[in-house]
Amino acid sequence: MFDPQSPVFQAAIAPFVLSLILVGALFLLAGERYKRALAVCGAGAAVLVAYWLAFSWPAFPPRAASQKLAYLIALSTFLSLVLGSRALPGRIAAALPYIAVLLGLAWIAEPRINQGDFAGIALIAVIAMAGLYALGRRDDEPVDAGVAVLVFAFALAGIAFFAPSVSIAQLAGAIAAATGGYLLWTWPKRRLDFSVVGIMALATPLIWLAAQASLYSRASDAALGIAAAIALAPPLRAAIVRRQTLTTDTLRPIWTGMIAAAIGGAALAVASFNQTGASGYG
Amino acid sequence: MRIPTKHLAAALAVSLCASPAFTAEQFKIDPEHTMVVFFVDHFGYSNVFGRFNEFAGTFTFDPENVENSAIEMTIDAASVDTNHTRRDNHLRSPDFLNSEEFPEITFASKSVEKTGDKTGKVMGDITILGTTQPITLDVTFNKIAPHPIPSYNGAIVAGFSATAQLSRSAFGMTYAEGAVGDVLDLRFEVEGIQQ
Repeated sequence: MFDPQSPVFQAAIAPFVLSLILVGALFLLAGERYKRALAVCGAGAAVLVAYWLAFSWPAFPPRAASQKLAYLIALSTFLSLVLGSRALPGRIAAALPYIAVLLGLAWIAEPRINQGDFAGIALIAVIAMAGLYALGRRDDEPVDAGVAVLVFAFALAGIAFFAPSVSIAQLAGAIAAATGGYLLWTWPKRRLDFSVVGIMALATPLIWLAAQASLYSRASDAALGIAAAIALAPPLRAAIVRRQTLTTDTLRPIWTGMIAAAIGGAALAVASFNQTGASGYG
Repeated sequence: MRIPTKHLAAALAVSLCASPAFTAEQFKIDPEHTMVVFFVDHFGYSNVFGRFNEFAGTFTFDPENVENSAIEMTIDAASVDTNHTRRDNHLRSPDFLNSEEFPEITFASKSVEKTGDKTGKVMGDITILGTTQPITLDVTFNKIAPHPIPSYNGAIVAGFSATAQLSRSAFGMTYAEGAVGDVLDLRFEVEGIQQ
């Protein structure tokens, strides 16, 4: 179970434990002004370490999208630290995840751009922008955005597994585990923010990974499209579950999680139906 | 000195008979009679065998001066076939050949060295997953002759067998290193039709 070469260790245990430690360390050690926002950067750093454990660090310049992701995750972790330290004006900070996602997407999609596949890439970009917007809309409910990222990461892992593309599934699992480590610090008792910092640290790499799955694996595009709707879980929860006794800080993320899981389940059902061949062999 | 005409004619006839029957010519790889095969270790139990079904290429072959020979080949990565659909789909994924992102495997020779009457080494570059590495093929020349089947209309066909090894991790293909061997044994059985 603690074999460093084990995919379970690399994709689940290591990022979860590291995230718990790093998020906690940032929360406990950062100054009062920064700690609530900055702590989630620890989860991004845990994803970065999980990548290194699972795939080792790729040489520069990276050739494949999976190798580019290493540098992109390093960038998103760094930018999340910049955002968490409140070094940027509000509007620039709010725009940074959108800019980062688009630039990263262009880099990942470079071979497809060279082939002239603009429509597919534009569709991914539009869905990514909409997802970022939906996640960032309810800053007052930070755990809900984290829950949506957690469920989307699990859904992406499942969809990639059906493709089959185990390395994408493994990295999605690592993002889910790291997000879980963050969530344990802030639920059921709310302590931390998610905000634009969490979006940069966790949602942005997840979007790049989903783009890789869509562009270069046999992952079901229909399933990925459905899974993208998980970003709508927090606003959907707000529209569906309104009674005050059901929307406490403790209960609200559960509702959001249930809505997200229902969408994720539908995505996995479609992926299962469209599977080109799951890794059902040894 | 004056050489009698009849002697000159005889010398020319001898010279023609002794000269190579086939000079350096361009050949197109015949996909129907060419095989690109690999073997890779599976957990140490056995070697999984697979092949690529789609490829194209040309070679120049000079039987008298093999150093002047050359070969170029492009393989469709998605055409991998291990007689197991699920495994083949996995091999096409980003875990292994990443054929959506890198649809082609290419090989281009850089030099040829004769090592025996019918053997030689072909040094060249192979590109997999966008990464180029040097590779040496041990080649055995089998035969060059007009094809005996009438539908070939007497076309000259040349045939070779070649083997090589490569380390997949050198191309960044590191997935499942414990389960799937790092070193692949490659075998090429090539027939080319003179153009």
